[in-house]
Amino acid sequence: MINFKKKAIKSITLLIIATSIISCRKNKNEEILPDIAPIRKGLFVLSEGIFNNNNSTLSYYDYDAKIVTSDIFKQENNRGLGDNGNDAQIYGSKMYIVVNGSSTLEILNAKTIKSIKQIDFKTNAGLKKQPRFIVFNNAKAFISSYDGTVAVLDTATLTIEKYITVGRIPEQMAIANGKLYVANSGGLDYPNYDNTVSVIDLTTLTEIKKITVTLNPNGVAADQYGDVYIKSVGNYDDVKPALTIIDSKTDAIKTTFTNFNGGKMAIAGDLAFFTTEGSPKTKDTPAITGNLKVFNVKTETVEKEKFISDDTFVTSPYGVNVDNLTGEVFVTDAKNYASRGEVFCFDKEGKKKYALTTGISPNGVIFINK
Amino acid sequence: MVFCFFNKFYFFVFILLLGSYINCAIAQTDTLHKLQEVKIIASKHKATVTPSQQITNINFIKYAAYNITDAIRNFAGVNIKDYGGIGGLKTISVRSLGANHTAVLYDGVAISDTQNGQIDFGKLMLDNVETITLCNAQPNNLPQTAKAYSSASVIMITSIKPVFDSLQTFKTVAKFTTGSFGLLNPALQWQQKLSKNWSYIINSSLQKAHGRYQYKVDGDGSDTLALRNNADITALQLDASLYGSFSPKNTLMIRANLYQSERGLPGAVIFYNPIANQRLWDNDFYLQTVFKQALGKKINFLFSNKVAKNYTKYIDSDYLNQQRELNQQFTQQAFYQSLAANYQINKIISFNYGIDASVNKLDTNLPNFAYPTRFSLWQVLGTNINYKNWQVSANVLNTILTERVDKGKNPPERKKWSPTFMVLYKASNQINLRAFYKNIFRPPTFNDLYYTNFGNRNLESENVNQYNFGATFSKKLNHKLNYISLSADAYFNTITNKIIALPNKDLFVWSIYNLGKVNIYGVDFVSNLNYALSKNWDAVFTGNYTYQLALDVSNPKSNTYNNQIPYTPQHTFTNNVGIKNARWGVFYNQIFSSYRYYLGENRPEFFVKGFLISDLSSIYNFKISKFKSTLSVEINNLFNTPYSVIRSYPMPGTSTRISLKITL
Repeated sequence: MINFKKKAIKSITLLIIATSIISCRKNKNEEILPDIAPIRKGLFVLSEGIFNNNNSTLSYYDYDAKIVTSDIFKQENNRGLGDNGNDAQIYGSKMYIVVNGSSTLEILNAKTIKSIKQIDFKTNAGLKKQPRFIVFNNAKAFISSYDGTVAVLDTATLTIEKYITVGRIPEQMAIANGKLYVANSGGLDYPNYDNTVSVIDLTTLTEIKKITVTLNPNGVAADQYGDVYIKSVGNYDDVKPALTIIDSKTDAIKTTFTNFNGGKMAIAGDLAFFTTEGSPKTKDTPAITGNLKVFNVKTETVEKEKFISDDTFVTSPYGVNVDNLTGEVFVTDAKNYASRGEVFCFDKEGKKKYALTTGISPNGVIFINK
Repeated sequence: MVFCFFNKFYFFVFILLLGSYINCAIAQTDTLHKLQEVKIIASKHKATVTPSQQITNINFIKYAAYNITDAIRNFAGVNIKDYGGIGGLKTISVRSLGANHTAVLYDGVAISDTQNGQIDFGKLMLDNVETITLCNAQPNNLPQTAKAYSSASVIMITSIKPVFDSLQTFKTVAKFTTGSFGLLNPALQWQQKLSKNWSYIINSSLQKAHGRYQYKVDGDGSDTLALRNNADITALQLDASLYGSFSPKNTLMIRANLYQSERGLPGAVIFYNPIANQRLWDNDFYLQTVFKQALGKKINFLFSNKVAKNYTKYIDSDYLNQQRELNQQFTQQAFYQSLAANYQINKIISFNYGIDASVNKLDTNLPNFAYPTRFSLWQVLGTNINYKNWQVSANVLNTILTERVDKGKNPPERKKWSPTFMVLYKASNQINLRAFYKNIFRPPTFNDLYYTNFGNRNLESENVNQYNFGATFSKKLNHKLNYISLSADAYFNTITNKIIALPNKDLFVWSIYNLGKVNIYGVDFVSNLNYALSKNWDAVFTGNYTYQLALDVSNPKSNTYNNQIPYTPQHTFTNNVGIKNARWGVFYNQIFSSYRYYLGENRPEFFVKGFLISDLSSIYNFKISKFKSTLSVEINNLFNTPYSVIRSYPMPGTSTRISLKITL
């Protein structure tokens, strides 16, 4: 309750600050292209494919034509995207796709999907760095890689300027208060996971602090009040999943919700959405749909355990994105992770509007304006 | 794609016709026909209650075979998963049931892998092999260990036994093979007579190859050939067997086998990322004894035991953990005892019984591992009835599996009764009709149960029902077409409780479930033909065909429902034509596989092209001074066809092998 009061007082001032900061949230089109009429042209879905199978794809759904182009990257470039496309974002006129298994960053013209440049993420010895996620700030892109670095890419020259060393197996990142927050998961070091979040000063491009959180953090997102949300997986044993909220002004931990289940995370406005898993049918129990848990970042309480309000069945929710313009919530369904997936579009009330078939293991939706 | 398939199909038919045309042409030019006795081959194709296919070592050359999978790849119903290259993993699935349902008996004793449940046939070398037999359901000859009844199908390998001419006391066979992939493969065999009834044989074989080959990367936009790297192998096999008998009523065989290898794992071809640095070491040893004793004319005993230790080390130096290296080591230990007997009451009826026990342990350097030990007890009771034209066999297998783990909860005890019923009707001297039903299961492997964090200790066994109906025909037709044998079997198999792994939450967390259900409808067709071209020359032909519809019927709501399961071609043709005499032989082998899907969803984007691969081989027997020598030359993938069995694991183009064998 104290938290809630404080939050309420702060919220107005923070709102003003927040709107002036270019945040790292996935849907930044309206910020990057403020003078273009914010009318969506369509959406892209990035599908990871299967590890070691070179079958990552980018699908495109055109809102007017209502047609899905299933592998538009290959169609436009006559080559496959590669192995495990992990993250795709649009910044300015370009789309950036981080391909983990192939260890590449594909830079495309966001309108035509024609390749502009492929950046190889390998060491001089040919060792793959395994890039994971990308965020943007002030004409620079930040790419986390499993080799414990964050690469700084100049989006004008498309060259890497610097590698910032962070913790082990960094995953997602978010920007708040002129700082970059990187989740150091240590995910490949079972059972000795990392438990830190690296804080990088975006003017000096150096790590200024490491914040200790619950073991195995992998998800990071910032809200409009200057709070950074860190989702930790735990160790699958005695350390349960947790959600940690960091105040980006002080870099102090505000709250930790222990035993907080939730897979992927997306924050839009006052709401944070977390994917929650279902379970397959067994002899004794019926199948249970995957769902979304809704968390209010203003009140910092769980608002709803089950967002889906109709009979839509999501087998394996694998990604969640919110369209800030329409309030539509997109959940990607990886099914059995070895066949075509699906993306469901829900309205604000959790009723399905439509569904699209995607590639294998769809992990995110990227919106593009006209 | 469909068009492409038909093209290949017609090409195949064309080659088939061409092959038979050549046979006829040669036959017509030959005017001297002499009486030719039926070849020994006839006895080998004696109809069996359950379908079986056999190859003996003199025929390995026909299939340009370098390893065991090469030797049996022409068999009907066999689906080999070959990851390519000399050191690449090779597993065998029979009648679409999956590799875990195929047992391997080496000289009557099972090779077991409780950790993975499947055998890498690439590790079994051919130098000391005499015969390989694939039996659907179970072996047909008695007595057999109870374990021999515990799989859906069995591959039986027998090793070369010492054979001496009347005055010989020892024999040495030296063989050297070299060829593509930088292959150097010397092998030495020593056969020693100790006394009238005792002898031993020692085989040693060293295999060394860089394993590199060129291939075309499909789909990354490149137009140059890439080189398959990190594909080297060095393997050593030492094998010693002692044979003897204390009286005419018994035989003893003691066999020790050592296999050591180090290999690179080239891995899947990853676009834009060609470097692989994973390596694998194997260090396997086993000692087994097989003792057979007859009690009078009616009772036969078989007493077998085995101790085995398999050590595997896997290192991935690309792994981005703290140590910058993934180092996993596994040691499997197995102790096995078996006692089997059969009792022939009279000419009509016999009974057999077998009891086997084994202890399997897995040790590893993985953190928080369960360290399981499995105790297995198999008992089989069966009967055989031979009455007039009927042969009926029935048996029931009882299995009890218990497990103890060092960490966590012990899984529940597993008890199963598995019946088999088989019948053969001799319709005429040439024609036999047969049918069988077999129910069997495969227990979850240690990986299924205990894979760190993600194993599921409550898994049930995968259950299989096999129904088979077939007919065989064999005949000596005339002096020219001196032998023909045909067999056709239609089958229906079901797999329930199929063990499948699904990622959960994210790709780091997998869960294993008993969720799969598969229905398999298939036909196996086998034909063998021997044709005398002249007094000395024979033409030989084998042609096999397999049809398999293997449908995933797990979940009607899933988009894989009623789709063909991955990597299962609907049509497989194999054929082999050759001509031979006592000194020469030339053989042409073809394997055609129709397209497959690499995923359970049969969509064009998950399509894997079919292939037609041809091999050419020849053999020449001659003498170097007084020593019997054999020179063989083999060309695999004659037309340099790019193909892959497993997607992203390209197979080599044309490769050659030459080998010289001298018997001293």
